[in-house]
Amino acid sequence: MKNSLLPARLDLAQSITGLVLAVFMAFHLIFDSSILLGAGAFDFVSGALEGKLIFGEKIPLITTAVVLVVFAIFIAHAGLAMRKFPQNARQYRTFRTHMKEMRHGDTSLWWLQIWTGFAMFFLASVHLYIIMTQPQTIGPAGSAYRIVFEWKWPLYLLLTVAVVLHAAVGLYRLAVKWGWFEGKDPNRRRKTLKKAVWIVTAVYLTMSLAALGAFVHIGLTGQDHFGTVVEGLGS
Amino acid sequence: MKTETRAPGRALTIKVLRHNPADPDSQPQWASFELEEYEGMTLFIALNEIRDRFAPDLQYDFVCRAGICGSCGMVVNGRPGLACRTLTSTLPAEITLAPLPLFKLIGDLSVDTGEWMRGMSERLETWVHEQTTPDIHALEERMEPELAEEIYELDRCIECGCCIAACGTARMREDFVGAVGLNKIARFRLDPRDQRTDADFYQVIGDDNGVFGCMSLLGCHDVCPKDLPLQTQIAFIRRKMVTVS
Amino acid sequence: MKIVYTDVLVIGGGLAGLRTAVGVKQRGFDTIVLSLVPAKRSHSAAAQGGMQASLGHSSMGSGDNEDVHFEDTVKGSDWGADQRVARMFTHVAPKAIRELAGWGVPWNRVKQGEREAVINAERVVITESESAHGLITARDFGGTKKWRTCYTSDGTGHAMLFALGDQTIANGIPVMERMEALALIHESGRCYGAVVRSLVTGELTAFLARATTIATGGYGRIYKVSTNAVICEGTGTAIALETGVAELGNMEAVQFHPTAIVPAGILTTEGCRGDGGILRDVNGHRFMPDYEPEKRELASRDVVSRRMTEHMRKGLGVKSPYGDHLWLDISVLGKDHVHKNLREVTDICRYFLGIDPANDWIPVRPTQHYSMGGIRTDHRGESTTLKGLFACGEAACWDMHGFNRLGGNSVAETVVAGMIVSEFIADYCADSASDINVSTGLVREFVEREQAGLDRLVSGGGREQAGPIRQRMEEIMIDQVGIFRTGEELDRAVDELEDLLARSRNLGVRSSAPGPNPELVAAYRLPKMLKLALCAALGARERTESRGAHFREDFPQRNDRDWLNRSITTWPEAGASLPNLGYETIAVADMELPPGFRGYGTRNYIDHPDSAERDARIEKILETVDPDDRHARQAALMPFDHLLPEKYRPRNQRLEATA
Repeated sequence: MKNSLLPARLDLAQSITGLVLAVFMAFHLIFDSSILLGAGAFDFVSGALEGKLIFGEKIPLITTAVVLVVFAIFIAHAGLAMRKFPQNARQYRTFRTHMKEMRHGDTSLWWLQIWTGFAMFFLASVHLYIIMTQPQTIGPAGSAYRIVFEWKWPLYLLLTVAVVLHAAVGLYRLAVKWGWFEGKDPNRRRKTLKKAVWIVTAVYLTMSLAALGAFVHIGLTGQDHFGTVVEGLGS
Repeated sequence: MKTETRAPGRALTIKVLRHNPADPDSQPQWASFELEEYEGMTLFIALNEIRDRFAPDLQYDFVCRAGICGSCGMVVNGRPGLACRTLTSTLPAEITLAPLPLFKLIGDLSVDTGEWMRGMSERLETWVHEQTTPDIHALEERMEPELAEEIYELDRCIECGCCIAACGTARMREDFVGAVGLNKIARFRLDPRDQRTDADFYQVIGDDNGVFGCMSLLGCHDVCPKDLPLQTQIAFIRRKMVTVS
Repeated sequence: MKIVYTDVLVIGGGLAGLRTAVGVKQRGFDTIVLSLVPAKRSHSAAAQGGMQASLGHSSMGSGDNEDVHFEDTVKGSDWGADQRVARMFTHVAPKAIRELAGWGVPWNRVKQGEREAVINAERVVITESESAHGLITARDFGGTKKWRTCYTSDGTGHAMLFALGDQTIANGIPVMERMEALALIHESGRCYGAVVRSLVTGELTAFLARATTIATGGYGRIYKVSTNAVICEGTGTAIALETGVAELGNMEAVQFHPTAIVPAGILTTEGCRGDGGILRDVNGHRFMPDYEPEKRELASRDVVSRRMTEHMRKGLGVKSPYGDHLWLDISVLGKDHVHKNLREVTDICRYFLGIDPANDWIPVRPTQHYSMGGIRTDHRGESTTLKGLFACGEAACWDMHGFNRLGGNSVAETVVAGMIVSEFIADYCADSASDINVSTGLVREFVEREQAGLDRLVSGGGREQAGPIRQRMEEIMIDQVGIFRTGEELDRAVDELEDLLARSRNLGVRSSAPGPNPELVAAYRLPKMLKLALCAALGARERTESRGAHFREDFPQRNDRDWLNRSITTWPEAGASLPNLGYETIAVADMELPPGFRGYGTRNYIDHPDSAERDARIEKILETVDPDDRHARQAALMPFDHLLPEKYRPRNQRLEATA
């Protein structure tokens, strides 16, 4: 055989890693946003995820292990996706000109993918590394402290926007790429999918940014927005 | 039908990106022409008028002038399309015309799509591969009527090059086969007279210059003058190609 | 001086040219195709409705065979056709369809069971047999007794051209695009190739070949309004004429298609009427049954076009700023049918008229469509007078269409002629007589002559411009050499065209831009087009009868007594203002089908004195042959098998025979 099966495997792997990361983020951001229900809710959720319901106590190593896996998938996805990036200045310029002239939604969205993806190399890596190495600090207090006093809020602000956009558009791209949900009228279905992208983006951004705000509030005031005092801040 | 006499039309400004590579002194530059629009005016009519009145050396390609042959693909206000069937009334009063990018420029709005398409055809072997020559004196092989219609649906491609010009991937990576090529593979794969298997097709499009290079930007699908189902066909071929083992 | 050698030079990359190239290549000869445009953009792609071949699979085509197809073709031609060639054609057409099926053309197929169709504006139910299920089906076209036109939706020419284009590539045949032949290189009655200009660089190259084949299509663009592509300027035919040796046949036989849209002049296929569409006038009245009670909208094209013009002359056309027109109504066929089987028509209406033909009537009128005339060849496709020059397809006068061709017969002719002629070309090339014994001096002379001509246009100080002369020629042709012709108008047409030709000898070009220089292109093509126009106008003026598409109001009868012949024009003196016009007799004594009434149009003709005798002779011959053996009966009347290349002689298998 002249063509190896590698390109097929890599293409599939890019999609699968992307899908896994998007699904992971869909849950991650919901769990994060449990802070909107109060510090207690967040505490419960983060505890549950660290095995408290099974083992009776939090086992931060679970977080470390999960992050390690996610980190690996993330790096794999980044590596696979990078193959599609413009490889040199000429390609970069050509694509930009092309996009500007075409004024074509899906083409411009890809540029957004590139930039959000590129930003996440740094933003997500930092985040993942911190969580992986300090899993024990996750909690209403620890997280709020990190966000406010360790100046992580700008990072999380940018990361939230980037990840939500990247994942929502990415899922849409996966659907059209593999022909999922084509239905009887693929053209109309594509419009519906596109609409879904914007709805999901709006919902997740609102929710996640509100959650970020809630952490900032806790960090600044010592209590959540229901007035519950959050213990252990600054510890 | 309109029975009234012609009303004075809009004043159109048509800007054409001009360059004659055969002339060493020529530099690409925009040339602007003013025309009065009239009812039923297409870019075919407008360009002929420009050549007659202002620029006898203006180069462009029209053949059928009926949207059938695909000769007149050009970039109209930023988007690739067939000039002959574009009514000026569907465009703003200022119209920019540029040659299709990526293809070799012959001059002004004329590009060499033929050479590109031939290269693509040779690479993908876009013809029916049969083991035996059919007997032309005997009844033909039967085919389900629906299948014949499905094949024709994909066979309607006119190789105008618009999908290539609209493709971000093709713009960055010149060896990419583009939607025109992938659609051809979908067409021949559907055709029972072509005895190639998926493994055979993988040999020609199973790499990053083939189906795996496609980033699903769908510019092709959205500009295709023949409304070919490129999105679904490329997705279909991708699914088939990843399952080749 | 650049010289390229090959065995077979094919000028023209449409269906006829490509099939010829594939044919000679498969016989082992080297070939090069020259094309003005990428081959797949050739005007063949615009053939919409279909290709006639007497498969007889659909129930409405049941009982069809070569005999019926032959009869329809000859009647359609108004007895102008070479009947032996028409026989060769009808015999090979089914093979051509099947060959193309093997190459991937997705012909529409018979679907067993009941289906609705519209016939004579009424919904009827047609039942297709189980035994035909999955075989190639056919639709109805004008001037045919059976539904015989095989099709792929209304993109038949496109599907065929792409299949053949791909076969050309599969066979590794070089197609040199944007190359224009300016002159044929010839000496002592033998053609050696052509001087060719690149439409990219403007350079001249000499192509030398054992056989040169012209397959450049028609000359519709000498008319102001034509369905033809803008490249159909007849220059391939003209370079043959300019040899002074090659003959052109029946140049006055120009077909007008009844239904091109107004004002763009773009074709809507005959399939519209074949599938049940009807013609209406300003009052919405369906008028064709008033004139042609039997065939109605589906009489032959010459007849329908004349009836439409006649009706508009009565003031019953629809007034528009672009002149009168009539309506083509296909909304009667229903949305599903229109959007599926008449897709190109739907697209054309949407883009050029802004209407949906499933709901709205289409404004149409007769428009120049097809050139029956062309380079006169024998049944092998070789010029009758210039050895080594072959022609096929619309560019040729082979002559199976006579004075009017049937819809679906031209796209069939392209491939059938390509199949047959390529075999004869290969035979010719295999013979040492085809060796290229030509001096480079002669080649240089031809190239230099062409170059000098081009140089003179650019810097000879000529003061005439091509545009206005051409425009005037187009107007003369449409107004005075159109559907209805009179001696007086033709006189004026010939005179004025002569003037225009004289003026065209003083052409000058403003632009000297390097490269193709479109202004120069227009200038050097113009005299060629004018010569063709003169051949057509002169032929029309001298032919004082009406036959097929050639209709003289001052001589409305078909006159078999005086005019059962082919007009032959040559242009022996380059500086002459008119061609030489002569005639080639069509012998009644050899005919399988002696002249008679066509079955549509006006029954108005002067008999040939030999007709009765031939009729009697035929009757006598047939008495001696088994009445059930149609092949034997045919062979007894006018044998043609021996004229065909051996590989195409076997009979066509028919569905009944397999049952």
